[in-house]
Amino acid sequence: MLNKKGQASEAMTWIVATLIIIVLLGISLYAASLLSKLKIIDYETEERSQDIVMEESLFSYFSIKDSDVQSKIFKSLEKMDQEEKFYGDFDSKFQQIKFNLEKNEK
Amino acid sequence: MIKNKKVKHILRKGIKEISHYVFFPKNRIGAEKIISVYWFVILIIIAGAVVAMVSLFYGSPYDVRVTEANIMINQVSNCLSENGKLNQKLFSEDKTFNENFNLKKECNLIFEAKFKNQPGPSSERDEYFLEAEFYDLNNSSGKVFELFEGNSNLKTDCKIAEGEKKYKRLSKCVDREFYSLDSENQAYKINILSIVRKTEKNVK
Repeated sequence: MLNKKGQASEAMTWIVATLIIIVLLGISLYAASLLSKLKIIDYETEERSQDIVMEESLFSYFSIKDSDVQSKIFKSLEKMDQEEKFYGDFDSKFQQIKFNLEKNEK
Repeated sequence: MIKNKKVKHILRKGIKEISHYVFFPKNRIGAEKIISVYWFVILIIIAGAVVAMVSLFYGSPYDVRVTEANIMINQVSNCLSENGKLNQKLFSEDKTFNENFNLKKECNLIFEAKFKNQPGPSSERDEYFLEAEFYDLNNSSGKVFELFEGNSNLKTDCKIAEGEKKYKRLSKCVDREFYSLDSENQAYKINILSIVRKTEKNVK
């Protein structure tokens, strides 16, 4: 009688162990399928030091003679920076281009 | 060979005989067989699950359409404007915009990828669309010139998917703007819209 109980408890251990293994595998499979859906290379979140489009605007900003249009462009660029439409650092690029242009003028 | 039957143990003379069932001697071999089969099944299940996990993860492609659209915008902006000055080919001799400017040719764009199983002319099967709109900053009359190339039908996807990330199977649209000057230092705002479809290659 005692041995029968022992055998039953041993079988229960194996059943529970099997269920745990299957549940863990199920969770891993679900996690793998979720991760596979996140395979998106996001251009915006990748850190980059260059933004060609922003640099074009900055070059034209520094080249323009009309101060009204210049301030209009700067306001628009600042707004775009606040809206995080640039991929590079606007302020550092602004200072960098300004410094380079001033250096060339001298 | 000991069989699964009642076995009598004689402990000491004078002590009552104790009898019990002997389960293991024969059954241990059977139990080991069952356990080895069990382990084999578990091993197959685990191996199968690992294969499934790897194929699930590596079987789904990377979605690079936004990056591709941004690269196209960089290429076009670099071709339309250099160091803040508009490309001279954009203007005809009378200083007006050149209607014959070929965006695809001048900007070295190759739209080789085509929809499969889609009837219609070649341009309607393009997986790309590019549009550049020019606005005069001194003139509030709106758009003064535009250039476009590729499949214009893809523009509808942008309107549907606007602000929604769940529509993964729709085309990816990237819209950017920049400023540039013409030879007479007149400022223009240029809006570039870049659309990439290529759903089959980027989304599973």
